[in-house]
Amino acid sequence: MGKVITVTSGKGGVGKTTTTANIGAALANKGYKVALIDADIGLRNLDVVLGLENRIVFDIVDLIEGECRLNSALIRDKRYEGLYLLPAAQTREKDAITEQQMKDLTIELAKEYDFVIIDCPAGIEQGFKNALSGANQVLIVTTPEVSAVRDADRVIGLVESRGITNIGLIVNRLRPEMVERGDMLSVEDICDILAIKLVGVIPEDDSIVISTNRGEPVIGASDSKAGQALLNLTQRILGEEVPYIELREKPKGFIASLRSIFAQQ
Amino acid sequence: MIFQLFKKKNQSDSSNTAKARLNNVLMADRLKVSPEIMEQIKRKIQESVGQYVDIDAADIEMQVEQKSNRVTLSTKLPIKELKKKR
Ligand SMILES: Nc1ncnc2c1ncn2[C@@H]1O[C@H](COP(=O)(O)OP(=O)(O)O)[C@@H](O)[C@H]1O
Ligand SMILES: [Mg+2]
Repeated sequence: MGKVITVTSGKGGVGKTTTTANIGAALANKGYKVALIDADIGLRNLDVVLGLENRIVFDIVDLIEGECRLNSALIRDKRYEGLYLLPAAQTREKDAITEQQMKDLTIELAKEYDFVIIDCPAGIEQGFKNALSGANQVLIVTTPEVSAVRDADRVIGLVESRGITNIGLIVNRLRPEMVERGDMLSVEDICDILAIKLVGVIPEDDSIVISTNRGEPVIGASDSKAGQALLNLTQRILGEEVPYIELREKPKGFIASLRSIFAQQ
Repeated sequence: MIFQLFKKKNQSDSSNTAKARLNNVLMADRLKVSPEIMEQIKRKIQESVGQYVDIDAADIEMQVEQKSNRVTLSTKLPIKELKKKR
């Protein structure tokens, strides 16, 4: 049986879809068979982030209503072998799917795929409950802002109340220079408050915007700190110990640049 | 530690303000009571413990932690001086 991972946050716009797409691509790169589910019915997004928007024929609601077979609803990513997307329905209501139907679907997929990763809609209503119905592991994405951390806290409570214990925290859009100045919550602050295991820290990075413009996962961009952070995060999900990378731009004194060269080896 | 990197040296403030506000709002969220009630709880604790020891009311800390389905309320009451035994 494969593993079912739900990526959620409460607050919208914090990086769930970006994270889902990149973890999926990174796992496929490592040779795993991965199915990504866009659970945001009515606000389809994961397809464009992955650059697969022109290849959609059927969607998750078609599949659940029996309009098509599993294999015809899943879109195969030609760049990442083993990566598949089940798109959300764009013109349907959020409650077009029940929790039980979603759970059955994830169980079905987990028979065939090593990982099923679900991109959760914002909020804590039906779509959120559906997205959690079959989860073995939950990744909570937050940004270093009061509102996002507050929502994360609420969501962690709701996830725990469902008996799910494997919960990891991802802090996205961190700006190390602002943290240093004392103008942004630090990763440590957030971990203190939320008290769950940290699995990744992703810096604010233009390369995410650029990759998203092109419809390509940022893990494929060389020299991207966010890409590296997402690759490391994926390894931690696989249970490997990976040190956290230096996110700050180095002060380029001579000694400092020497040190940074050696540190990379 | 790993997070030395992320730690602030000369905390300008707005992140401290953020942390304090976050703590406050989460306390109310986790206990499912309003911030006013939180203030009342604080005052009552201060009153009752204050009968025995002198508490520095301005520095009372309250925290609500949530770990796997159990919510705990902990308070830190800075003591100015012990009151004389009656
Ligand atoms: N680390 C980052 N640096 C820069 N931009 C980011 C970062 N993470 C996300 N974004 C941008 O923020 C927006 C919201 O991200 P998205 O993944 O769609 O969030 P969600 O799915 O939680 O609503 C997108 O435009 C995305 O490109
Ligand atoms: Mg999204």
